[in-house]
Amino acid sequence: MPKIKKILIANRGEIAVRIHRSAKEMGIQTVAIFSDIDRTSPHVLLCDEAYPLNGVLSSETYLNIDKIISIAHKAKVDAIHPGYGFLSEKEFFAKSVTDAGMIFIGPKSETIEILGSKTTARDLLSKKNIPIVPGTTNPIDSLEEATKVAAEIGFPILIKASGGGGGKGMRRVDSSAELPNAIERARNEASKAFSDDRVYIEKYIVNPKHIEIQILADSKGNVIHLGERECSIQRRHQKVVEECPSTALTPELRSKMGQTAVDIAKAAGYINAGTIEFLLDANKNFYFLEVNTRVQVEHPITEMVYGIDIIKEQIRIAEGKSLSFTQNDVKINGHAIESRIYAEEYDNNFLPSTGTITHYQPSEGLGVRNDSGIRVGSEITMYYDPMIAKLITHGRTRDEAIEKMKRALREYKINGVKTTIPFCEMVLFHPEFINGNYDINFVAKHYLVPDAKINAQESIAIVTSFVSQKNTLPKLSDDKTLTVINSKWKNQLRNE
Amino acid sequence: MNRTTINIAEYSFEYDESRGIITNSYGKNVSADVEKISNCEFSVLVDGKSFHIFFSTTQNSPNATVNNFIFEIQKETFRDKLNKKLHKESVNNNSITLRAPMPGLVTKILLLEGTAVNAGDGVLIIEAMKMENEIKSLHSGTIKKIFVQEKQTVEKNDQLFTIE
Repeated sequence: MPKIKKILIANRGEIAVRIHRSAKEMGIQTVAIFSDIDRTSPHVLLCDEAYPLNGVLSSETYLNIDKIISIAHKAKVDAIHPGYGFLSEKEFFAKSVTDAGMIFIGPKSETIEILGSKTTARDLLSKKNIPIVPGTTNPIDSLEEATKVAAEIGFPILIKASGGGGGKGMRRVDSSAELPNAIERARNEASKAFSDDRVYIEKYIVNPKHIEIQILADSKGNVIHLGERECSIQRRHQKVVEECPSTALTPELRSKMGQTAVDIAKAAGYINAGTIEFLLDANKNFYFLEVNTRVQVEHPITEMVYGIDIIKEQIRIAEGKSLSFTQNDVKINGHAIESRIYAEEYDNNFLPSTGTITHYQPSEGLGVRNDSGIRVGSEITMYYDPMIAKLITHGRTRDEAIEKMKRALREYKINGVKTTIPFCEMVLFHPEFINGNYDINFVAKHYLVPDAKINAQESIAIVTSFVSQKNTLPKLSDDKTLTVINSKWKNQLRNE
Repeated sequence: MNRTTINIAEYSFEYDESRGIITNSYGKNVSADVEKISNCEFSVLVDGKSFHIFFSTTQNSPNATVNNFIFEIQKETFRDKLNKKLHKESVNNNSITLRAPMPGLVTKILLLEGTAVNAGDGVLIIEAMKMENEIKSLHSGTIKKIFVQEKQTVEKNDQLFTIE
């Protein structure tokens, strides 16, 4: 395959910026696409070219394949990078891209189809002796079937969307009475998020850790793994704080889970970067959960620890190049943590917080990385995902990475929306996070609303600045003051 | 009377605008070195301690952000206090109105006006950022009025329904 010279980034926000950066470093031209709201978003400002999608809703913009392919033709790109979310795991998008004569930076359409539908993935892997969570391998067709399956595997169960992840269309069900309502809700959500309302049922594993293995596979059949990420700190089944490596894995277990992930990739004929997700129970049994056939939100922590740029590897693999390193070449260097900064009400059940960013000053310094897609003036709307930035710290040890993260979270300044920063701080200070023995129920078990306490000095700082703000601002629009300013200005003009 | 009470979390201050003096709840004057950076950003030194304060007016009331925590600033003039006192006596406390906890789209109304509900029953669904959020009644009673329709966009704090 030829060298890629120009890439269209079929995404928005921080991941569009992230892809642009690696592409530029490889001497590749970048093309952004944007909805009406994103006209002045960072990815549009940074990329070499940018074209409008005309519209606001995801369905008429970042999910609209016809518009995206037509822009790709117009801009004469060689390849399309889908990022994560949106069309990244749609096999028909991968197919549309290759049918249009361009390179899709990701796995083959057939691989996405098999692995993207979790039921066919489970089907394939159960034949290969890969440990999987008990449940249905096919989407459930009726309430009767769901009731029957639930009775067989026992409550609690988890209803999950066949068509995608991210916690959308996912519901925990504790009794048969809750089942009908939960299924309907899950179907609606799945249908909206993935245009696919099929759902399936899985046994709910109590108190597991979420451990995922990053893999890289080239088109020559070489597959390696880049260790694990632990993503057990979740709210609404969505990750918020992740770390690499996990405190739960010994080198032996890492190698065993890594090899299982490599076997899964080989069984599926996987090419490009991917993530194999597992649940790890208290007895260190692990169960296959799903494959994410795209770059993950939390990929930077692996990059920091392993010193490998995953986006660049994706592009090289798409160009047909072989991996330039073997399993023995990749080594763990230190520890990394990621805090996802969502525009959400940290003190009110993580409800979306919309508004305009009026101040933005992310943390800096040694071992601190900020991947973001916002700037002052950005509108945070209800139309897209509420994640606005990712803060990553890297230290020589886990303790150092934790201390850096505490420092960096305190330093981060953002005004205009509420964010999950106070929540992330609470996690980083929690003894169970610090000792590493937390599991995916951390938030349910320990989530106390972050304590928004201030001391007397802080209250004085607020009241004095508030009063001086109120005293300086109104004066400018005060009639008397305006008259004085105006007359002076007029006098000066007359004198000239 | 040019005095305003300013409440921030559990702290209360009196601001005398004509004299430009702020006193705390013990009647002691408070002062600080305040430097305005922009309309929304201030650097404040209180006895040498450094604070970085931001202001915004989301949700129609002024807020201050310190270390990414947001505090509502409640202002009450003498007249506000008087009005509140008079108003309190005429308010009917038997009905409770639930407001939208977030902006979004009303995708489904699950119950009709006049239906009896128990605390915890879902009344309607608001979709925002692709998540469906079931809005539950916090109280038992009867749905007296539903203020919204399906497919209607709501802003945060818009009235949704009243339970009596």
